[in-house]
Amino acid sequence: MMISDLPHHLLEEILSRVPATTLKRLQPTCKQWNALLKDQIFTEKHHRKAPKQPLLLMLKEFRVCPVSVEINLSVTAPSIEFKDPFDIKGSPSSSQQVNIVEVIHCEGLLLCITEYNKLVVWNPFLGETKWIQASSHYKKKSSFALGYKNNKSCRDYKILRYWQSCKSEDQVVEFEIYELSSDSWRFLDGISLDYYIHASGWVSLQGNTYWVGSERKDKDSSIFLLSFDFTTERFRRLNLPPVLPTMKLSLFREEQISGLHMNYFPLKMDLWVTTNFGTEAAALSWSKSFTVDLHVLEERYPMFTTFLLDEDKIHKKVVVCPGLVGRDTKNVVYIIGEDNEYHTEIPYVRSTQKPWWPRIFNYVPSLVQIQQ
Amino acid sequence: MSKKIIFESSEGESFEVDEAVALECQTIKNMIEDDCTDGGIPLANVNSATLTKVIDYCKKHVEAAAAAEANAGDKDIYGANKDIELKTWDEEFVKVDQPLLFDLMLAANFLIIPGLLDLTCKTMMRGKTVLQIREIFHIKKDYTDAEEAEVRKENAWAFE
Repeated sequence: MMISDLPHHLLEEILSRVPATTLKRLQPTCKQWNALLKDQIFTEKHHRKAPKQPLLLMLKEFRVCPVSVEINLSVTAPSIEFKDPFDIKGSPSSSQQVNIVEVIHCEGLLLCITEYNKLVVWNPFLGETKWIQASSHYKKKSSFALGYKNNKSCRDYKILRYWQSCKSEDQVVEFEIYELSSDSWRFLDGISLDYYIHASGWVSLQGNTYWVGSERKDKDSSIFLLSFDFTTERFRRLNLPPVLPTMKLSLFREEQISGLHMNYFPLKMDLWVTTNFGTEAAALSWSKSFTVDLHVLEERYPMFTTFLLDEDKIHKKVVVCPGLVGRDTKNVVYIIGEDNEYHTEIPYVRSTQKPWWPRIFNYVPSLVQIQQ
Repeated sequence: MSKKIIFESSEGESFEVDEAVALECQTIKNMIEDDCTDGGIPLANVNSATLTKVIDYCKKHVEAAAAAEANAGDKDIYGANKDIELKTWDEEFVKVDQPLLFDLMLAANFLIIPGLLDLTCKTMMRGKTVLQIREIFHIKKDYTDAEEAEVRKENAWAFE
């Protein structure tokens, strides 16, 4: 029996298990394959079944660049190569380069906030974009999250816009939801949040968004994990590792949440990972991955925008991306191994004088199409 | 002693396996539960060479699961199913020629062995060019050269 004799459903079964990048390369095989890869029922099936192959992306000088990390400890210290940025189709009104100031990743789709606060949802793998009209209620200093309502058959992507008064004792919080399927904004009523959402770090996992939150009324209360469920459109409070004043969040292996806690006296950072995300357990359990003595970096007050933790049975390492230092961006990425086994500083060339916030994140190429 | 199950390949050859190994196949599991495995299970569309490999796969995965359970005390955050050693074994396991790989995939689909189906499907396409895929699977090119160039351009992606 050959593949061309296979019943259609079996061909779908096979191709839905092939990683997206391989499949895309094989799209020109024949008309049937090409059509299949554009079929929404197939792309959803593929999303559930195919192995995920994350790429490292970096928001660098207002553009999204793939980054390849080579780690071969037996030969040399790790190295990083910064590749040419992805092209994003310009906004309908202009053909100029699009400057991205913030990027939010949710399972194959990126939500980019561009200069002048324009929004675009982008699948860089397929080269598809959708520019989104800001709501008429838009307020400056709004923040955004991207997630989806989890239907059985498909994912309905939504954007959450939130605006909160920066005075923590103020109760003013505003939430608005945009649905890609209906292309419209609506206020999220009936939610009063006594929490302050920390803008410094968030993570999107299984379609929902997680931030670090704290009580508005009680400044000295401990922090916790705050989640927004895009299906029920409600917030939920979850636990973080105990007695930490701040934390940054990141995705770990596309299935757990990792946390970075900075300590300046003494200078070190602790890395934590959840161990039971996605299970029925009532409380999240966290385990400490490793601690880095930051004196090796020869910086008095290092500050990181984003980080990525990676580990296998033998090695643990973290990639961290420093933020603005004074008014300037420090043009390096660090890779640090457990027990300070190694640390590598990878400088990159900058071509603009405008300060920007670098951000490093994992991205899983996906065939998911943007609802137009 | 554990219960034995007898498989019969398309050539009529018999293979005796432990019930635990046979249970890796969802199709067989259902048959065992329905108590219709006495006198052997004829697998008319699985030949002996393929069946030998399928049994190897199921045996290894049963052993790995048992070992993981025994070590559950010092299990780390990867969980038992992410065992690197097992992954390496799987990689070696599918280093076979294309026809056998294809037969393994069909057998995994028929016997419902999800892990083996995932493994064979992704291996079958890995590193192949469009031309190789057409040749291996006898797929006719139904594009004109110009059309094909267009589809290729649309699907250019440099980061596999």
